[in-house]
Order: sequence, then structure tokens, then C-alpha cells
Amino acid sequence: MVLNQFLILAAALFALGIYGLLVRRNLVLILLSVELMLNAVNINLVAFE
Amino acid sequence: MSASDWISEPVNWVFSVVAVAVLASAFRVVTAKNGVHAALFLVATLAGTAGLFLILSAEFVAWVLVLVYIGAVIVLFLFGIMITRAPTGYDEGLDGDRKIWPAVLSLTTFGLMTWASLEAFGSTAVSNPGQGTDTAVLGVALMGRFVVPFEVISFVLLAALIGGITIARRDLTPVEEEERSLA
Repeated sequence: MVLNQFLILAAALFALGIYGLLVRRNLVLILLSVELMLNAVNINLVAFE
Repeated sequence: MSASDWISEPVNWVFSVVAVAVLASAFRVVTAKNGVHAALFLVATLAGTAGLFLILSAEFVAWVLVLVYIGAVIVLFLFGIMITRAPTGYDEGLDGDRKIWPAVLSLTTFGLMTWASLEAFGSTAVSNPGQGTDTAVLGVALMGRFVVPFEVISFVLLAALIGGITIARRDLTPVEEEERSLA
């Protein structure tokens, strides 16, 4: 397992979160996108651990 | 590490399957036309992430993710959708009209982050696979070295709680108060 496979997956999740953040109109759905971005950060954290 | 070496490791097959599932459900989280479906697709994303944490042998974080996120945060979201005036059924109006620029920005971010991590880490291996989380060490670190951030977070949570109550309760106007006292 290389580190990059996790980092790139997290980058993809983060980018999807940004997309959702900009496209969604409803506050609850914007929060769901933020949750997606936080999840990406969590993956990075555990991958570096 | 060459690509053939990477494929020959069985753990990477598991990773690939889970990663595809995570990405597909994350994509549906931001594109679903039904708010409840989006929240439920987030469950799939988080469950896949917990699987990734198990692959990285971070069992404690994985089960905390399942308990706190899938168990509590998603339920909170579903209650939020149910209680507020958020649309619960199929709704074309969940997204804004302009999708090109968000897509460009998101793809640029992905490209930049991928490029940066490829440049920085090349084929660095994951540091200590197969070594479980030591919760005792984690607890001591949280109450020792990281006690200040820990307390700051608890303070922020308290502020959020008070802010939530303040926003949620609507104070009566003087006229309404008088009407109530007369009634």
C-alpha cells in the first residue's frame, strides 16, 4: 500500500465536496457536502498516522 | 513500486473495490435529486471510509466513525431534513443552474492536490500497516499533550449549543406578549 492511493482518493472526495458546496442550494445539503470534505481530511489523517 | 507490484498485493484489490464504492456514493451525495437519498448515500460513503480505516488498521477510528457519523450525525441530518422545510421528495430545484464553474473549480482542486501528493510522496509506503490503534496512548495524548485543543473544542461545542438554542427560540414581540397575558 502506497501513501498516494489514500491521498488521491481523499483529494477526489474533497473535490466532490467543493462541487456540492457550490452547486447545492439547500443548507442541509450544503452541510452534507461539508461533511464529505471533512471525511476526506479524516482519510488523510489516518493515512499519515 | 511498479504498477504490477501494486496489483499483486491482495490488500490493494480490496482498496480498489472500496475506493470505487466510496467515490460512486460520494458522487451521488452531490448529484442526487432527493435530499433524503443524498443523506443515505453519505452513509455508504462513510461506511466505505470505515472500511478503508480498517485496511489501514485504525480499528478504533473506524468504529468511532461508524458509531458517531453513521449512528448520530446522519440521523441528525435526517431529522434536520424532516423537521425543517427542506424538500424531502424528488426536487429538480436542489441544485443551482450554473454547474460548469463549480465543476471546473472542483476538477482543478483535484488535479492540483493529486499533482502535489504525487510530487511529494512518490511511492512512499504507508508507515506502519498491521499495527492496531492503542486507545490507552490515544487517551493519554488527548488529556496530556493535546489537552488545550481538546478543551477549546469543548468550548466551541458549548458555544454552538447556546447559539442553536438562541436561533431556534423566537422571542415574542411586545404586542404578542400582551396578547398572551390577556388571554
